[in-house]
Amino acid sequence: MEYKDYYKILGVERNATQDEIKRAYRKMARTYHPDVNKEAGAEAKFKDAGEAYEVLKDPEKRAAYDELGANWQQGQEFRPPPNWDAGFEFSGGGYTSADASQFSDFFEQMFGGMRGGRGGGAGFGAHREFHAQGQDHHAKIEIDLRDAYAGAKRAITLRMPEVDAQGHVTVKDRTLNVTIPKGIREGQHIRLAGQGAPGIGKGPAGDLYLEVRFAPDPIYRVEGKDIYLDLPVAPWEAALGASVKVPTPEGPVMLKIPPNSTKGRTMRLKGRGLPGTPPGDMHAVLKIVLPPADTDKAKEVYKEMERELPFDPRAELGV
Amino acid sequence: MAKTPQPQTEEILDETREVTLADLTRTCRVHAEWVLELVEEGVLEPLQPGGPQWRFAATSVVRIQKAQRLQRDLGVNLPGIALALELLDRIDALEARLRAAAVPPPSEDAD
Repeated sequence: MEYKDYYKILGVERNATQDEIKRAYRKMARTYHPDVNKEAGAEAKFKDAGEAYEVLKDPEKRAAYDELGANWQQGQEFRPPPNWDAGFEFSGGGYTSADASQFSDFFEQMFGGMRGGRGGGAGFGAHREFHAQGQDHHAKIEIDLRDAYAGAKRAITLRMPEVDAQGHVTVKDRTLNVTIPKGIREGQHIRLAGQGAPGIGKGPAGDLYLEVRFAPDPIYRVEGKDIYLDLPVAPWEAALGASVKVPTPEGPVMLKIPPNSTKGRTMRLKGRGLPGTPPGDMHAVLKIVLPPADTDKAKEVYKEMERELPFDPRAELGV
Repeated sequence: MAKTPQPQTEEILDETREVTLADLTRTCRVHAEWVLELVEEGVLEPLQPGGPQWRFAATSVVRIQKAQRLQRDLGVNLPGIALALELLDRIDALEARLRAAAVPPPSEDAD
């Protein structure tokens, strides 16, 4: 078990006032809340801050934690001294925050004993009937753009703690088969009823929510229902107009390039975006690619253009 | 105490699917009064506000949960929730546009 330096996590001194601790926590919570901050690692920081605050905001828990001494380092292998909490009164008892089941082993060891078992409610006394619905779980699922066009089946594995009849916690892998429907978009959620945390007592299980993310695609970019493609064209195709073969996620199509097209001109292929009613569009953004001047022949053609075409690309810059 | 897995039911939460007020309160485990407050504040919009029974887009489930988390975790009040959700929506839209626009390669030093 690793020691958690709750003061360091919140970035406050060990002698910080309760107000300073509260301010530090509030700021971290706002910055790293997973609904607000999508960056990797934000959620872990948010949870760490929540755990730290859970202890430090409560003068009783804080005093007990301080009793461990200041010589421990964050992450150091830690074993609590025997009876470390003797002599401290814990009112309220255990954790109060809704996501307490996510707290660290360190927290569990130090403060979890005051409430009984973790998560599953196995620790509640037999004489006390208690039923509650299990917590909802949230997870992300990454799919390919192609899966959103054609629909797909995915087996996803989730790790979750389970409490057995003896109150022991084991981590179990669970595999779920999920059907990805055609036309699903990034950011949409799939709800799997009853696949969240098991209920407490006779309460029903919570639900599982999967948020859909698209894996980066090598050629297409996605915005909502629409997809974008950079379409390389030769200078003469852009200048003279042409009919060119363009890939789409559902197979190649022919696209007409109008004469005198310039870089960045965007051609819309209606209904070639993500399926739906109505479907999205595909946008081909023209990118003019120059043939390399790496042969005498190529150099000659460029020189001929230089001689024959009165063209100043920088005319608008006034130099 | 291994539980046999229940038959799996999947529900896609998108704009085309509709849910009732009762569905929302059951799925999100919230009081109808709170959903009404979210509607009053403009966080949620019923599909036909004048209709005999309110129906919502299924995406409302995710929105209500987000609102709950903001309230519970950050102590944000209702107008604050409305503002935060609106700003988060705008950030999402801007980030999607940023991703759709090709990012230019890093500059090279000119001689």
